[in-house]
Amino acid sequence: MDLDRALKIIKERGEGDIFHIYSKAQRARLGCLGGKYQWLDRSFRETSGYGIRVLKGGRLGFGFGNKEDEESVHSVVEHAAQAAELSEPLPMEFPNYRASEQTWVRSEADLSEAVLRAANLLSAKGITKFEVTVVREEEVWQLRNTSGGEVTTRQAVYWFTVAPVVSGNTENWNFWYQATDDPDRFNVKDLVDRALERAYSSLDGKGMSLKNVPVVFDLPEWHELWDALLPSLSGRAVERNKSYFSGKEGQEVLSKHLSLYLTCRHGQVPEAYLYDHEGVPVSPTYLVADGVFEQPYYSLSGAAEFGKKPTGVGYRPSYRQQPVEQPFIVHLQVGDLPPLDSLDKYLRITSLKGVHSGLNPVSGVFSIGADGVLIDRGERVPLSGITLSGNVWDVLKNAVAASAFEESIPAGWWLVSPLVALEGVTVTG
Amino acid sequence: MIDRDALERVARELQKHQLDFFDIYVEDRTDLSLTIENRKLERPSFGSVFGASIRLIAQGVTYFAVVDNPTPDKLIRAAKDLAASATVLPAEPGKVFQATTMEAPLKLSEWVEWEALSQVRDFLLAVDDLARSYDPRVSQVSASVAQVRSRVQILNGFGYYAEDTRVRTQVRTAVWAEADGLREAASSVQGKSGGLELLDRFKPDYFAFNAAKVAVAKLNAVPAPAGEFPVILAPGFGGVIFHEAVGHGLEADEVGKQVSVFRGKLGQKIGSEKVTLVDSGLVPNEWSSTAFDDEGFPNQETVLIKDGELVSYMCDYLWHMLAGFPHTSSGRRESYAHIPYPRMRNTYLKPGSDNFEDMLLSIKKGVMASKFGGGQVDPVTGNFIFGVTEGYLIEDGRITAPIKDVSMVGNGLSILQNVVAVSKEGDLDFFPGMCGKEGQSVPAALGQPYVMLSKILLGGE
Repeated sequence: MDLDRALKIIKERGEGDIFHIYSKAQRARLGCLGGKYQWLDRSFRETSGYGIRVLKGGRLGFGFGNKEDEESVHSVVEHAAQAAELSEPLPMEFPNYRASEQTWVRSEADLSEAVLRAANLLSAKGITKFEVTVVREEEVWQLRNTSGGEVTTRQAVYWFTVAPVVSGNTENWNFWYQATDDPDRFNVKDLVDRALERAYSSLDGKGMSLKNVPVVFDLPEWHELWDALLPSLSGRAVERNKSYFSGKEGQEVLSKHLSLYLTCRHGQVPEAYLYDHEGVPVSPTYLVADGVFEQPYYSLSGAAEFGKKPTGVGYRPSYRQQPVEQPFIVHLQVGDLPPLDSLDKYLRITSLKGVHSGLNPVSGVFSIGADGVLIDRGERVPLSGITLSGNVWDVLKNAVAASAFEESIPAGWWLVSPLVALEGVTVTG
Repeated sequence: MIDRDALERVARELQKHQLDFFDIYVEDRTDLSLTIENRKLERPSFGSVFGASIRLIAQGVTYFAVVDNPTPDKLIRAAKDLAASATVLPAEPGKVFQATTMEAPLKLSEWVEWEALSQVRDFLLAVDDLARSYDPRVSQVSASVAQVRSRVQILNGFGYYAEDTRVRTQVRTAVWAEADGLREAASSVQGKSGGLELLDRFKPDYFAFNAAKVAVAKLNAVPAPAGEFPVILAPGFGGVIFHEAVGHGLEADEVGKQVSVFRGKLGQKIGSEKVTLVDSGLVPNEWSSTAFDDEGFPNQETVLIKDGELVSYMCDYLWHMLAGFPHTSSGRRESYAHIPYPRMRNTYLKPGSDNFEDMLLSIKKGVMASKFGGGQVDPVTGNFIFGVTEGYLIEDGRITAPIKDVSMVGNGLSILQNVVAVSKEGDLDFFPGMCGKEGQSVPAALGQPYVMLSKILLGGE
C-alpha cells in the first residue's frame, strides 16, 4: 500500500495517522480419537488492512478498510473525518519517532512434522484422545503519521498447542501452549509433559473445603486472573475513578514482595515490543514497586486526556479497531520469598471457571470455580469442582512463597512470572 | 461483490479434483459504532472490509485459504494453490458443474440504514440524561450503538448459490450508581436483525431506566443465600445457562470428538417433560437469524430436545459427512477469514403452560436470576459456573430484595432434569449475545420465558 499517498489524503483533512498491517498465518491441526490420527484442518490466511485516525481541531475520528485503491482510502479518511466531528476535543499530538524493528524466527519447521512430533509423544504415553495444533504467524505493521512518525515492525513466531484428554474413572481435559522463535530446537516433550501434568492433576478429583492452605495458580490461570485485574491499572480506569487503584498512588496495594513491571522485551519472550501501535516507545515502567502503587499506564489519547506521558500501551487487536490501553509484556517480579517446596501443603490450581464473571476487580470480591491438586507433604490429592472465594486484593497482599524460576505465557499480552503461593483464599467444595 | 459467473469458474476449477465438499464465501461488510461515556462521545468508528475464502474438504480434512480484496483471477489462483496443497486426485472427466440459485427461506424486513454517525448521537445523549434523572446516586453512564451490514455470496460443491444481506443493530447501556462508598453497575441491551428502526422500537427511556433501576437497587442488595435453592431464570438472558451448559455440548463437533457429556444420548430422556429446546436460524428479525447458513444451505429450525428427549445435535456439513448426524444448517463463521464450525443460532426454551406467579408462590426461599455476567462450562463433564449479576431473593412466594453478585454452580444434564416449570408464550424473550468458540465470535441469541429449576447450588454467604 502507498502509505505516503494515504498520508497526503489524511493531511487534506487535518492531522492523523495510518496503521497498516499485513499478516500471514499457516495452521495445521491434528486430532486423535481412539488412538487413530485424523488431520482436522490445514489453513492458509494472508490478509491486510488499515486503520486511519483523523484529528480535526483536536477531535479524533477513526475509519478502517482493506481496499487499498485511492478512492477507497479517500472514503475511509472521509468516514474518519466525519467521526472526528462528533468527538470531544483532546490536546493530542502524534509522536514523531522513526524506527524499524524486527523479531524474526531463528529456524523454520514443517508444520505437519511439528504436529506429528507432539502427537507421537502423546501416543507413546498411551493417550488416545487429543488435539495438537501448530501455527506459524508473521506480521508486518507500519505506522505513519502527519508529525513525521514512521515505525515499521516485522515479527514471526510459531505457536504450539497440545490438548490431551486423560482417563481414569472419569475423563479430564487440559492444555498447554507456548510460542517460540526457534521451532527446530523447541522442546516439544516439555510441552506434552506439562499438558499431561495439568490434565492428570485433577483427574477423578473430589470436592474439599480447605482453610489456611496457600493457593498457587498455574501460569495460564495466573495469566487469566491478571487479565481480569490488569485493566484496573489503565490510566482511564484509574483517573475516572473506576478502579481499585483510584486515589491509591503511593499506597501499598500488593504484597511488598511483588512488583509489576511493564516492559518492552524479556529473555523469555520471543518477540520484542519497542514501539506500541501508536508509534510511542514502550517505556519500561514500574506500575507497582515492592507492593506500592507507582502509576497507571497510558495510551496516547489517555495520556492527552489526563495530561500524562504515554507509556506505550496503545494496542490494536486488528486494523479494524482503534488502539486500546493494553501492555505488551508484564513482568511480575518477586522479591525475597521462600521457595514453593518449603511449603508442606499447598493447592495448585490448574483450571479456572468464570473468572471474568465471578471476580469484581473494583471491590476485589471473587467467587470462581476451579480444579487442581492439593500437595500435602508430597502426596497429591486431585480436586475438582471446588470454589475459590475471598477478596483478591487482600489475597495479593499475602504472598508467602514463590517458585525459583520464572516462566512466560502469552494470551493477548505476555506475562512473565514465577508461580506465587498466596494465603487468604477460601476453598469450598 | 464477485460476478456469479466468475464464482462458477472458481467452482469448476475446484471440481477438477476429487473433493468431499467445497465452498466459496465472499463478504462485503461495513461496521459502524458510536459510544458515549459520561456524556462524551468516544471512539466513533466507521469502516468496511471486502474478502473471500475458499474451503475444500478432502478425505475428511479441511483445507482453507483466505483472499483479501478478491478478484476472479485471485480466486482461481487460490483455488489452484489450495487443491495442490491438498494433494488430491483428479476427478473423473466429464463432470459438469451446475449452479442453482437458492430460494431464501427468510426475508429481512425493511430496515433503516445508518448513513451518518451523527444520526444516533441524540439518542445516546438522551439515554445518558434519562439515566441520570432517575436517581441522584447514578454516577456514570455509558451507551453505544453498533451496526454491522454484511453482504455475502456463497457457492458450494452442490452448486447451491446463495446471496444474503445481513444487518444487525445493537444498543448497549451500562449505568453505575454510588452511595456510601459502594459502587454497583447494571446494563440494558437490545439487538435485532435490522437497522436503526430498533431505536424506534426501544426508546432511550427503555435502556436508561432498565439499567439505572437495577444499579440503584443493587446498592441495597442483601447477601445471596448459600446452598441449594429453587431458582427462577428470567426471560431472555436466563437462557444463557441452556446455551452454555447444554447448547455447546449439542454441537456436532463436540459430540464427534467425544468431548461432550451428551454423546451417545440421542433418543434418550435427558431432561424433564417441560424441556423443549430449539435452535433456529429462522426466527423473524431475531439477532442471529439469516436466510442461509455460512456453507450455502438454506437455514433451518432444529428441535434439539423435545419434551425432555434428545432428538438432534446441531450439525454442519463436515460433521454430517464425518459422523452421519442429520445436517441442520448449523455451519457458521465469524467472517470470510474464518473456517465454519457447528454453532448455535437463536437457541431458546420453548414456552410451556405455567404461570410466573404460580412459580413464585411455590417457593419458600429461593432466588430469581435475571442477568448473568457470563460463565464457563467444562464440556466433558457438563459442569458449569455462572456469575449472577442481577438477582433477587424470593421469600414466602414474594420477591423481597435484590441480592449481591453470586455464583451459580451446576451441571448441564442436572439442570435439564430439574426444570419444573416453564411459563407461557407471552413471556418469551431473546437476548442478543456474542458466542465464542475456536477463536471466533458470532452473534447468538439466548431465549426463554420464565423457567423454574427445583434446585441449583448458589455460592452465597
